Formats: sequence, structure tokens, C-alpha cells
Amino acid sequence: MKNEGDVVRDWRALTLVVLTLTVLIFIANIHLEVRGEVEDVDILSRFAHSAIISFIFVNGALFMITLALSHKHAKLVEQALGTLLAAVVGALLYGLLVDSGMTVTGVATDVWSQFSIGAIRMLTAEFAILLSLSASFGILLTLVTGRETPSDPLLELESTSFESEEE
Amino acid sequence: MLGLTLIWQYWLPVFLLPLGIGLVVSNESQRRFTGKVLLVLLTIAIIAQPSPLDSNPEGWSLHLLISLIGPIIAMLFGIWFTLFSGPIPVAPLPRKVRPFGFALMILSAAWFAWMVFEARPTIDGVANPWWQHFVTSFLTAQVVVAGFAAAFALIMGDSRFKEASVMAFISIASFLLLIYLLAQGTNSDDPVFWRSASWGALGDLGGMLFGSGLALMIFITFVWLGEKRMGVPESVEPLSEEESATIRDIISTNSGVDK
Repeated sequence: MKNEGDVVRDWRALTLVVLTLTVLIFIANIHLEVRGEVEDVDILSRFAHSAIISFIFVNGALFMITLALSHKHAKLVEQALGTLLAAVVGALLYGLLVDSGMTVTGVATDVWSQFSIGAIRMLTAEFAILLSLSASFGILLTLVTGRETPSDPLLELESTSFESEEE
Repeated sequence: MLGLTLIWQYWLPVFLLPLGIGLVVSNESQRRFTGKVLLVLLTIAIIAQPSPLDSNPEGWSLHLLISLIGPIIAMLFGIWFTLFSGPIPVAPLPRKVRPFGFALMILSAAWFAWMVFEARPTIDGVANPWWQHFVTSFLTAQVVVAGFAAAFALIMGDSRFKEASVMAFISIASFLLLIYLLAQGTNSDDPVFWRSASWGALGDLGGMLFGSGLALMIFITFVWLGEKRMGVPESVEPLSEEESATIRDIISTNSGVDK
């Protein structure tokens, strides 16, 4: 049986694997971008827009789920109000960001156009992540459950009659 | 007019989707029913959108979804057949179905590769503008997720070298495919566009990770504050004679032992 230290070590190793892969992808992209031509992509604007839109969407989704699951015994006022307020603050912040001139290139500079295109881009990326998670863990599950194991010997034992033993 | 249609038949269903899902997973049957009706109505609203799919970015995103239905269904059925025809005691399918499941998974991967290299989704010769963003996001996520799955199988599992090798192969293959697209491009698209899409997708994925993580942390804080304000529950009164008698009756009925 694993103790707490082993579990922490295992998860640290897994985190390290994910970080290494992310860094590798960044390096590959930077290397290829330096080597060849690339269109003008303002990665910082994309990062900021995507972060705020995700923030609004996740808070909005949590607000909706809180409403859907609320019942008379649950005290969810803080949760519902908090998520709604956070979503509204996110929307205001997004409006300020676009008004201040930090816009994504290739899209009309009004707030709705920037938001709608950013949101579709984010939904597309979420769809891609969902597909990759389903495919990877689905395949892993089929592989893991494919191993033949010998049946439990306890299952082959026959039950004993206690009455006959007493005799 | 088009803007109003899109709000009613695209954005509103997108915003109400979490409400429908929340209702469907609820414990009460009445809410579950309401959730199912809501999800059906949202689907009908999106499908009944009158504007052509190639007339706006929202329509193109739906076109992307429709274009990928083939490979997705092949992959899902492949996983289902393979999983339930293996040595598992729950709802087993015949063993001979298992190779067919693997074949469906390979077909799904080949179909996707064919779309990437030969058949980019189009409407009347106009290419889908979200395609490159989707492919680069998918491959980037696949490298990380399959790599994580490989390490997970190796570290957490017991002698899972074969499973880890397959997942590592998927991760490396996705990485090589991504690099190939960035360096060489495809028949329909110059590598410049792939590089730009990949670079932008990295910004989007990083932002999503940061924004979603922050939102979840704030949510956890709200839950913690709510729990903190609830106070200590009042002590429960001991059972009355009548309640004790009822419980004794139930126990004796179920255990068959006389009270």
C-alpha cells in the first residue's frame, strides 16, 4: 500500500511530465516561427481575451448549475450571488479591455464582435480538448480492461453446511 | 435581423446549456424531465436556425461540428465495442467484436488524417475558417493528454508497460503530426497559416487554463464562505417510544428475527 509521501511523489512526477510536454510544444512553435514566416498573431491579446472570456463562461456555467441543483435545504445564496457577480465583473473587465484598445487582430474592434469571435474560438478549443480527453482515456480504458486475470480462487470454493459439521 | 436570430438561436442555447445539464443530473424526477425538455428545445432552436451556415462565424462553428460527426461516431463506437467485448463481467459483448472495435478506432484516426491532408471541410469551395484552430488545439491537447495518460499508466498502474507504450506512441505521433503541419503544411494550406493558427491556439489554451482556474478558485472560496456561515447544527432529540417501536418493527421484518 502506498503511503502519503509516495502519492505526492507520483503526482509530482505526473505534473512534471505535463509541464515538460507543454514546454516542448512551446519550443517547437517558437523554433518554427523563427525559422519561417508567420502571420501577425498577438499572443498576449489572445491570452488576455481567452482568460477573461473563460472566466465569464465558467462563472456563468457554475451559476446556472447552482440554480439547477438548488433545493430548499441548500444554502446556496453565497454561491449563486458570488458566481453571478464574478461573471458580471468579468464582462465589465472585458469591455474595459477592448475599449482600452487591446483587441485581437483580424476582427472588428467593437466589443460584441471581439467577444463573439473570442467565445467561438474558445468553444472550438474546448470541443477539441473534450475530444482529446475522451479519445485518450477511452483508449486507455479499453487497454487497461483488456488484461486477462486468473479468477479469484475463493469463488471456486463450495459453501459448507454448518448443520452437518455440528453433527 | 441576423444578429437577433443568432442571439436567440445560437448564443442563448449556448448560455442555457449548463442549466439544462444541471437539471438533467438533478435527483428529482420533475427537474430531470424539465432538463431533458430544455435540452431538446435548445437543440431544436440551433438546428432550426434559418441563416445559411456559411453566412456567419457562428454558422461555420456548427459546420465544423457536423463535419466531424463521422470520425467522432467511429471513435465512440470503437471504444464501446472494444471495451465491452473484453474480459469484463459487466454487460459483455461477444469476444469476436473486439477486433472490429479496434478497426473502428483506426478508421476514425485515418478519417481525421484524411480530412487534415486531403479534405478540409468546405461549403461550395469556401474553407471552414475554424478548421486550423480546431486541428492545432486538438493536436496540442492530444500531445499533453496522451502523454499524461502514458505516465499515469506507468506510475500508478501495476506492470502497465504495454498500455503506457501505446499512449506514448499516440502522444509522439500527435506531436510529429503537429510539427509536420507547422513545417510543411497541407495541400490546401500553406505552413504559414498553420504556424499562425498554432501560435494563436497556444495563447488561447494558456488563457483558458488561467481564466478557468481562477474562476474555479473563486468558486471554491464562495463554497467555503457559505459552509463557514452555516454554523454548528443543533443537537438531535432522542427517539420517542413510538419511533423506537417503528424502527424495531422495520428491523424485525427485514432481518426475520423476532423483536
